[in-house]
Parts: sequence; structure tokens; C-alpha cells
Amino acid sequence: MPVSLPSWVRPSHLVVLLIAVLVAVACSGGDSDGGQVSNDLAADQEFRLRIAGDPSTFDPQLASYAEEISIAKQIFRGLFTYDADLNVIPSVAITVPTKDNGGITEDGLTYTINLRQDATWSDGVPLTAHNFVYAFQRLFDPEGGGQGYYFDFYTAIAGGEAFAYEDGSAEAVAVVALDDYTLEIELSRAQPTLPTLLALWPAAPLRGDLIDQYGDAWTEPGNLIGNGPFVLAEYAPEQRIVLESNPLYWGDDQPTLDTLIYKIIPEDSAALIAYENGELDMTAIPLADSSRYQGDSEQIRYAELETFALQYNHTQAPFDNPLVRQAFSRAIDREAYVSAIRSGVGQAAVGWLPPGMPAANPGVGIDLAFDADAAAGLLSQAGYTDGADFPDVTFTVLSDPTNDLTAQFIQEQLRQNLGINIDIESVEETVFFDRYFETDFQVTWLSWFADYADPENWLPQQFATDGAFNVLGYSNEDADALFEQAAVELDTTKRLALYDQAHRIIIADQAITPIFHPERNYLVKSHVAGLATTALDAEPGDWFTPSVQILETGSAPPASDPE
Amino acid sequence: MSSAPVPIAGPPPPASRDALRRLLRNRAAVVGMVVIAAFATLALLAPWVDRHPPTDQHLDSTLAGPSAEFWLGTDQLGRDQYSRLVHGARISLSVGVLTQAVALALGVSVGLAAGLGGRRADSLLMRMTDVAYAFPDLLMIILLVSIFGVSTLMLVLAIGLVSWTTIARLVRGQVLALRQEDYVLAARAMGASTWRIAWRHLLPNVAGPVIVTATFGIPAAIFAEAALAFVGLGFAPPTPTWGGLVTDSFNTMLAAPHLAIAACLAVAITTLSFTFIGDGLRDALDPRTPSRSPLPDPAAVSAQPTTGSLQKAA
Amino acid sequence: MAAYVIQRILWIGPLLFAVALITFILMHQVPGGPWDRSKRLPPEALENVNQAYGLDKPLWQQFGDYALGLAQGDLGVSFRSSNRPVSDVLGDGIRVSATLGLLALALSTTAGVALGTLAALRKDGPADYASVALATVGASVPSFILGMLMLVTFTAYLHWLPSGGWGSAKQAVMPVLALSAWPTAYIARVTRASVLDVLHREYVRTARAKGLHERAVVLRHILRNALIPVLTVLGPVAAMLVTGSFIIEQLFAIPGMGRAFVTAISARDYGVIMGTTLFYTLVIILANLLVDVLYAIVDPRVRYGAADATRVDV
Repeated sequence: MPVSLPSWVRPSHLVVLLIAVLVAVACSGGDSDGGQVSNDLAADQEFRLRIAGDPSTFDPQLASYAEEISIAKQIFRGLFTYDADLNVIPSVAITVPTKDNGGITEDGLTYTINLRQDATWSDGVPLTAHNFVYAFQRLFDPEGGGQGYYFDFYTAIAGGEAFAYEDGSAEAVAVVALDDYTLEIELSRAQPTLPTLLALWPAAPLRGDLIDQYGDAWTEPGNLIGNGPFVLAEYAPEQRIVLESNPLYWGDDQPTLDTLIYKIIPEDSAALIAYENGELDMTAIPLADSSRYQGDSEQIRYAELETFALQYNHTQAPFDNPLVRQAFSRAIDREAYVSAIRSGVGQAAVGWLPPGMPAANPGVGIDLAFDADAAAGLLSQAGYTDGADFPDVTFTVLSDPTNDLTAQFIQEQLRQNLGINIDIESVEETVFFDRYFETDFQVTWLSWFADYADPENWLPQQFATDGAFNVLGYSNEDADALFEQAAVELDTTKRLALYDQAHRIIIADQAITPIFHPERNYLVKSHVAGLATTALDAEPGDWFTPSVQILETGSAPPASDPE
Repeated sequence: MSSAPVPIAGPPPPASRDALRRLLRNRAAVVGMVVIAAFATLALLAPWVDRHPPTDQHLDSTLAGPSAEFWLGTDQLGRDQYSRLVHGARISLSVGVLTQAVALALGVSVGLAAGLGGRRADSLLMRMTDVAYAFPDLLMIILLVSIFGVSTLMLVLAIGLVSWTTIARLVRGQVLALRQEDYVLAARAMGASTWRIAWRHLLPNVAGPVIVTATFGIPAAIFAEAALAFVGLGFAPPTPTWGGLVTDSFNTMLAAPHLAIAACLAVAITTLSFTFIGDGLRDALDPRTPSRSPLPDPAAVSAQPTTGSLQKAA
Repeated sequence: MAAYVIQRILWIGPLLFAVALITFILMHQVPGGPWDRSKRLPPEALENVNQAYGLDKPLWQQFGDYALGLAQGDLGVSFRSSNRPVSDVLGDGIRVSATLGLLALALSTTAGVALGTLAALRKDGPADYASVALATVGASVPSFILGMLMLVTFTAYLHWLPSGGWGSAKQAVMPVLALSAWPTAYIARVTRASVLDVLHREYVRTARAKGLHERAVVLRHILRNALIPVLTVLGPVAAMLVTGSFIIEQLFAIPGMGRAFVTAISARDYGVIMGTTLFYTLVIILANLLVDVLYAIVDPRVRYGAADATRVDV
């Protein structure tokens, strides 16, 4: 281009312009757009939620991400479900079997479950015990549910483990239909938590005839037949999932909603803007924005059963030394973390079992809480006075803005309080889990979220020497012995006491260093009523979606609807 | 893919003193150079001109607005945005400049070899160039960084590796055109070796357009670093880079817009300055400017989409 | 010319093959595989999926199978989206991204030419400053920051436009604007320079001297000639726009090609990575070919012969 450009740009003008626009606009954040909410139901019973990613499946046996689980819960119903206090109550079953009502044999190994005779599928076909038999056979099938996340929960069912891991067969899975409405489940070892597990989505009944007929396409709208309060009406990949109420739903919890829309919005900030614009009825508050919405009338905040912790590779120095792990625990100011990084949303953690979990005990770990002087003392005892000669340590985290912030906070805490410098390595999800399961890290940061409220889901798998999830290489004979006892202890009080003991051992050893129990922090429009949250939600209120109602509002919604 | 045709540059090497004088007469280019020099100086002197160490966390004032203490406010960990920008300039400017150095080295070697080598070498090298040109830039960078990890060196090599094709074609085209020129033929007749001709007669002549292309490539490389940060392949925290700062400010855009303004202005002013310098250089190095062909420099044509795909793919 | 174009088209096959081979090899060197999720598959199930997708075979054989399928138009299936054919995933994405891209192309061409012409005709006047300043902001602020700025203004604050999604005219406004910013600036720059150049031409001076109406001069003499170089940059710009922008699609929740591509890379969805790469490559090659042909058409000095498909004499 042959002509010299004059100095036509005055950067100062641009600055002023940009700042003016941003400031004008930033001041508008968080304004409420709701009119007066009445007590009458709105004509349009439509509940619009946001999910961040496209579900890769609607198959309840393969669902693993929160949005997949949440949708599967609406479309399918298993033998049992939860009440508001997370007690197991019957759903397709007539009663919850106990030893007293004869549903469980004295040895705790055989369950006999009677089913409702009025339950049907969304295409009108009666729902029978054979649908459960088929579903459990498929659950362990290496070509079916065996590729999923959750079949491991059910391996107490005789024949299941063999089918999934070895040369077993579908027929050998000990779930049989005694008649069309009576199911018998036989276990290879007692599993006191089986009724709870049977209330979860992977234990939903399935239609073998349709899966055979459609193959992989059985989960497409039209093909997908469920037995839950909602049916899949539309799936636009990377855009939205639309569920509609199931007119043939047989349960007592008939939904008020007509439509449930999951909008896929990848960016957190964009979702928040969509909510402010009235395109969503509910959305999560992004971390960076949480202080702005603290105390907002549309904010809901509640505890969930989840704990974030530092996880160590116990097979290598320096983390094979319990003194080092204890020093780390005492060196991290968890209160500062919660208030500064999490804007006060969440709770500092010193124990692994979160509050609300049976056997959780707020006293566990108190003696290893933050204390910089004690931390320095422990490190000195471990042979690294003031951090001298401390080996090179890399802190590996799954790349994500919040994890990156956390890693930098912890790095700084360790530098200030122990005088050691660690490196941070932030890797993408695929690589992270590839390496995590190979124990290819020194120290990492990961949370554990409860799928059901029992410490069985939290301790033996991770910390037993031969635990299926024990990637840390942690081993403690006393803990192992307790786990073995607890696994088959049918008395709940005794069982929880055993887990409490194991929990104390693990924290005293600092097998992991718990830092933080997160909380759900959401915005929900004032016209949404009946949202019943629990500590086990995948999305807020998703165990009780049928109770959600949309109320009439006085003013019209904002004008910029997509349509 | 063949190279785009290249307008012929002037016969004898342009007098560099004239070029410099013309460059210095160009107000925009001078402003650009002053700004870049200032940023480079700030970057070099970062440990002395920062207000706080760039990784120091002030947990009692996170996401604070600009103040006397924190000129450009603080981020989610209470770190001083001004200090992080000054330190971030070190990586971002060096990635930008070094990347183009790699692209220059590769592009000029391949271009010269193709232009001066035999028909066979030319054909082979140009086909290689075609493949490299057709390869989607961002994919190549992501793949390389995913395999070898993120470091300044890796980033420089990866971005350099996708940026050399334009220069190679430019050099080859110029060489093919120039080697028929009288003064080259004369040198050859006097028994000068091929490499001597290349060094003494051809290189000085292709230097102009090549340097211009490289100058335009620097902002592209800075954007590429931002793109990588956005897809989660940025530098390991807590190292500040402009790309990382821009990406971080995206998450805090609603809560603390001043962070985004500061980070974006740094990138924008730098990009602009390099564009001014590139424009100025092009005019200065081509004395026949006003009467030249109305066609835009083909280098610019084919170089820009690269810039764009990097920027836009981000 | 025809022979040259045919030869170039024949060259597309080998180019695609080379790009496919390189991508395939690099892609499999990246650590992590499609089944590395937050839970490990039991060995039996892992064996099963690997067998089902042929991932248990040696790499060369996998590539052979892929190339064979490709030759028959079979792009394989996506690992991530419950076995959707890759052609479905791509088809959906391309439709959306191409629509978005063409809208942005139309806007940026119109706006770019108008701004550039205005700037040149009123050189150094306020209109020049204003239009070029506008274009410059577009060129140097990252598109996601521009997008966010618009989201905050038009959606959160003014409630004029929906935050995102795809399917209605209103939903397209902000993504098209954000996507057009950079090409508008670029086209404006090319146009401005080109118009300024034409202004000094003799035929323009003659036309003016003859007392022709200013509008006639501008339209008939200046624009017609000045737009030739603009035409040649449209190819690459179109390629860039049509292949989709990950960041814009991510921000505005648009189910396009760019998002599919980045999702596929992070999920190690090999089939989709290959499919998107080959599509991108094809678009780049075609755009490049288009530029060269346009060049030959508008500039009579450029002649291509069939024998010179890879060697151009100028």
C-alpha cells in the first residue's frame, strides 16, 4: 500500500471511549427485571435452565456429567427415589424392602421387591420386572453400561463384577423376575446401601426391545422411551434439549411444568447475561461475580456434599512422609481461601467427609488446621527447616480458571508459610485424567462429590490399599481392617462408627489434605416456585423437578427474546 | 499451490540511508517505533519499574479498581494488574519478535534454496511450502504445544513453523524475478558463485518486503499466544503474559471491566504500533511508491488471513 | 490459464493427503486418548471400545483404513456424540458457520469499502480519522472482548438483543458484528490505500479536468479501478470467515464448526479432528486458488502456463 498513513489514531480518544462505554455498562450489572409475582400459576409452564456443555448421551447407564445425570433423572425412574430429606422411598416398587417386612433375607443377600402394576412407559407399554432384569444385565455388559461411570456401584449383585471385568455372562447376573411384577436381586456380599443405590439413575429400567431395534440411535428423540415424569421432545446438538411432561406418567409426583428447556451456553458470563435478560430462569453465579450477587433476592445458596482436597502421590518423596503432608495442611489458610478466592461462598474444610454426610464429624482434622508456626515446625521435623533442600515439587491441576486461581493461592501460601516454592502445571482434562489414574503427579487438586449420602462412597474406594479408586498409593492396615468390617456391617450405627474411625486415621495421616467444601450459588427468578434443593443435586432441585411451578408475573418479560 | 506473482523490486539495492530518512519522516511509523521502544524498555526494566512483584497476592483487595496503590487495579488474587502487564510484556513481545525471527530464517532459507536451486529442488520445496500453507495454523500450534508442552521456546518454534510460508514464497518469487536482471547476470558473468550472488545481490533486494511481512507477523504471534491461553494451553500460572491476562480478564469482565480494558489496550496499542511501523517500512523501502502497481503487496494479502485465522480462531 | 487451473485442482488431492497424514500422526502423539475421562474404563470395556473403533490396530493400519474410507467419502464416526457420523457433525457446523461467515463477509465488504473510500477521499479530514479509528479498534481489540462488550451493552443493559443461540435474525446481529470487525478494518485499509493510489492516476485527473461530476468520477473511474485489489483479498478473508470462529461461537453459544473443532481436540475425538482439518484445508486451498486466478484476471502482466503450475515467471 503505497501511501503513508497519517497519525490518524489518537489512542487517548479510544481509551476514553472504551472506558466510558464499559463504565456505563458495568454499572448496570445485577439490576432486577422482575415485575410483581403473584400466587397464580402462569399460563406458560416452562422452566429454562442453563447447561454448559452438550450432553454426550441420554443413556442413564452412561451418564456421567452433571447435565447428563440431571436429564436422565427426569426421563427415568427406578425402583426407589428420595423424599425431601433424602430418605429412600418407593417409586416403581411398592415398598422399600427391609428385614422387618421380609423384603431382605436375614443374611442380607437376597432382596425381593414388588412392583406397581400401574406403571407404564411413555409409549403406553406396561412397565414390568423384565425391564429391570434387562437393565441390570446391560449395566454390567462391557458393550453397554460397563462402559459407563457408575456400574461399579452395583458390583455386589452376584454375577455383575464377573460380567463387567471377566468372562461372566448376562444370564449370570443375579437379577430375576419371579413374575411380571416381582423382582429378586441376589448379592454376592451384603451391601447395606443397596436401596439407596437402587434410587439412583443407573438403576433405571430400560426397554430392551427398543435398544435392540434402534441400536445406538435408541436415545434419539422419538426413539427414547422412558418411564419418568418427562420425555425427551427435542435435542438440537450444542443448542438445547427440550423435555415435555409425560402424559402417561404414573407416579404420585405429577409435574406442573409442561416444558423443561436446557439451553447450552458454554460461557459462564454469557449465561449470566442471558439470565439478566430474562432468557433463563436459573443459572449459576460465576466465581468472579459472586460478591456482586451476595444477598441478592434471587440468589440461592446451599451446601452440597463435596470436598476439595490436595491429593498426594504417596509412592514418592517428599509426600511419602506424613510430616510433610501434615505441614502442608497446617500451612494453608483455608478461611482466607474461602473469603478471598471464593467470595465467602463455601466452607473451610479440615475433614474429608462433608457436613451433612453420615459419619461426618466437625472435630476431625481440627488439630491439623491452619497454623503457620506449627506448619514450619512440622516441616523442620521432616528435615526441611525453612524449606531448605525441599525437593522440586510440581502441583498438577486440571486446567480451569478456578483451579488455576486455587493453585496460585496454594503456591503462595506454601511460599509464605513454609518457605518452599512449588511449580504449577495446568493441564487439559484428557491429559489430566490420563496421568491421574497412572499416579503420574506429585500433588494435585481434585474434589469428590457424593453420588449418594454414605461414607462408603467416600472412604474405602479411595483409601483402602486395594480400593478401586486408590490412585494415591495410600495404605494403612488399620484403615483397611475398618473398611472390611464396615462393608458388611448391617447395623447402621456401628457401620458409621467404623467409618468415623477410618476417617480419623486418614486425616491424621493426611492421606489427602481437605481444603474446602463448596456451596451451590445460583440465581433463580422470583417467578419460579417449588424448587426443592438437596445436597445431592446434579442441577439445583433436579430430584424434585415435578414440584417446580412458574408463577404469573405482573410485567412482561424483557423484549429481547430470541424469537 | 504456486506462489503469487511478485512485482519487481528496483535494480540495485536500495540505499538504506534514504530508506531510514523516509521512515523517520513518517509520523505514524515514528509514533509506532516510540511506543514499541517504550514498551520494550518497560519490559526490560520490569523488575525495577513494577509497583509490586507480579505474583504478590493482596487478598484483602481482590478485583479492586484503579488506585494510587494499584494503578490499574487488581485481579482475582489481588495482584497488581500494572505490574503483571509490565512483566507480561517480556514474554509476549519476545514471543512476537522471536517467532518472526524463526519465520524469517526458515522462510528466507527455503525461498532462496527454491529460487536458486535446480528445478527439482524448487518443485520439492514449493510443494512442501504448499502443504505447510494449507495446514490450519491454529491446529498445528495446538498439536505441537499439546505434544511438547508450553514454554517460550516451544511457542516460538510452533508459531514460527506456521508463519514462514509467505516469506518463503516472497523470497523465491523475488529471486526468480531478479536473477534475470542485468546486474545479476553481470555478476554471474564475472564468475560470482551462486551463494555470493544470493548474499550480495539478491538478499538486499528481497529484504524490504520480507521485513515488512515479518513486522506484520509480530502482532499475529501475540494474538496466537492469546488464542492458546483461551483454549487452556497458555503459560503455566502464575507467569503473567498478555494472552493470559486478556483471557483472565474475560472471566472478570462483568465484575471488573477495568482489567479487560488495561490488558486489551496493551495488546491493541502494540498491534497498532507494529502496523504503523510495517506500513512505514514498506513505503520507506520502496522509493517508487506513488507510481507503483495499485495491487496490494501480495505478501500482505496472503499474510493477513494467517493473522486473521489466528486472531479469529481465538 | 485453463490448463493451469486444472493442474492446480489436480494438486488438491495430494495436498489433502499430506495434510491428513501429518495431522493423523501428530494427533496420535498428543498424550491422552478419547476414553480418558474422570473415570477409567474397566479393561474389558476398554478393549471393546478400542476394537469397535479400530484403535487397537497399529497406527499405519489405522491411517490406511481412514484414507480408504476417506476416498469413498466416509469420514467415520464421532467418539463423543454417541456415534454420530462425522459428516453429520461437520454438516451441521458448516451450515451454521458458513451462514454466519457469509453475513459477516457481506457486512465487512460493504462497510470496509465505504469506510476506506470515505477515508481516502477526505484524506486527513475528520471523516478520515473517524473511519480509520473505528476500523482500527476493530482490528486491534480481540474479538471476544468486542463480543462481550456488545453482550453487556445490548443484552444485559439495553435488553435489545438475545444473548446468543442460533436460528433467528436477532441472534445473528452481535456475532456477525464481532466477526466482521477485523475484516472490515482490513478491507478498509486496503481500499483506502488503493483509492489514494488511483486518485493520483492520470485518467482520474483527466476525468476531473474534463469537468465530470464528482460522483461520476468516484464511481466510474476511481472505485472501479481501486476495487481490483480489494477483490483479491476477499478470497482469504472469506476462507477465514466461513470456517468459523471458535471464540465467537463459544461466546454466543452458536453450534458452529469452530466450536466443534475445539471440542473435538480436547475430547480426542479423532474422526472429527480429521474431518474439520481436511475441510479447513480445502477451504484454504480453494481460496488461495481463487486469489491467484483473480490476480491473473485483473493484472494482465501475470500469465500462468500449465507447465508452470508450481513455478511462476513474472
